[in-house]
Amino acid sequence: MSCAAPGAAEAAAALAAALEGVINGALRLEPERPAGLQPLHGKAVAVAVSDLSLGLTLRFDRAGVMVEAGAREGCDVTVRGKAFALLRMASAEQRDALLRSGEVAIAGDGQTLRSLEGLLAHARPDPEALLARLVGDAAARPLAQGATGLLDWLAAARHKIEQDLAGYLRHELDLLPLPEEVRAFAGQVDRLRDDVARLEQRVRQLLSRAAS
Amino acid sequence: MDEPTVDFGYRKVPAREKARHVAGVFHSVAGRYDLMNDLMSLGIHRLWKRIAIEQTAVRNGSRVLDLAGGTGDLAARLSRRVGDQGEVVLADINDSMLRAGRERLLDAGLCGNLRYVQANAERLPFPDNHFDAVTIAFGLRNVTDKEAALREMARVARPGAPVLVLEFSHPVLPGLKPVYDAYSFSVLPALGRLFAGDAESYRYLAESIRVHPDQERLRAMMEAAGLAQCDYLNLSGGIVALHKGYKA
Repeated sequence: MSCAAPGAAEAAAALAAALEGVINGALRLEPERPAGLQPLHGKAVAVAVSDLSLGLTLRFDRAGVMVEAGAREGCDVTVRGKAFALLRMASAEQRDALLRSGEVAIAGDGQTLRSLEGLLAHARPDPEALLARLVGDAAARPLAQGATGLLDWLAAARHKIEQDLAGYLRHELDLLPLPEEVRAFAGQVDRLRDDVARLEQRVRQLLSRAAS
Repeated sequence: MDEPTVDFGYRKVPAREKARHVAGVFHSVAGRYDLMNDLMSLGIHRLWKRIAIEQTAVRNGSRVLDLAGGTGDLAARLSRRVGDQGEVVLADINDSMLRAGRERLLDAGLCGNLRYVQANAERLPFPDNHFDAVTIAFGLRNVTDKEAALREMARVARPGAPVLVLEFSHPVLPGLKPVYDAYSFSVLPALGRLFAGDAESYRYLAESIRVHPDQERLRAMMEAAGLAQCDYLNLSGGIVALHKGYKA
């Protein structure tokens, strides 16, 4: 039962407790929760956060989710990935891309996995409602609106910076090609590859005739 | 012939009377027990209990005994862990604590796989090799004959099952002891007087912790009770220790 450092067990337990509160808080706000949880009763999901050497185990029952410190062996599903990639899994738009790229790896029972995806698809965390549980309705509304406004502003600023930087690199420094130039170049490469393949076949045919 | 005595906090009382004294303490604090636990430990007792439960490694269908289960903190979570096919027996010698625990768990919607038994840890009313895990959290120091209780816990555990003792212990972090002592003997009784109207019971709790066996001694007691691979994990600098052994 040795532990890495004094307080490490408590810190891990505190993290698990906090996550459990957040997840169950979000699930309680979801009207489809009972139906979504039903197929997951008794199932366990291990989550391994590779860059933080951190593991968690999620156990589902009809009351919600219990989160434990440590990724246990023998769980129905195991999810592995870096912390940021795992956070992005909450977004349905990014989930497929993360799985295809291998940034997040999922292994285990397919039925449990589909049920988990179904639960995630329905999960729409409401930050205002979650905040209201901590600080009350009166304070939660302006806080949530402020946080949402800040996030929107950051997203818009990031988009604008990306566009400006791309324009500067393409048109001012001429370091990057335009999309249509890339497409035309890629088309020429494809044509050249096909021509070479055809030429290779003809040479083979000629060589076989000469041999016979 | 002198009657044998045991510790009741810093006092020595006849062994046959300790259970009555302890019962008096817990009858007094039962109604505010959870509130006081949160106040005294700043909520950290919940983390200590989570860590203990994770060490039980119980799963769906397991049968667990939670001794001195009090208001059911461990039993509540264990009940969810073992599921509908499992069983958790919450046992406590004190009927006030047991009643408070049962009401609290029922209010939380937990029933079906929970049983409540008023039992003395020194003489458990269960067959040999019966449970997949046995736990006792913050209860062993109140037992008159600790060796007998550990032997009983080992007896009712199935071979290979873990026996866990979560209990206040002796600080090992340098500099922590004087701070902890000052807190225990000044702040704790004051909190008890303020929130539970009972400073004496909380003074007993602080004293009983000081006379409880330290980490190594308790491990030796568990080994003497027939448990194997006994080890412990210091929590919060040794203020609390989680001891674990396996039924051989």
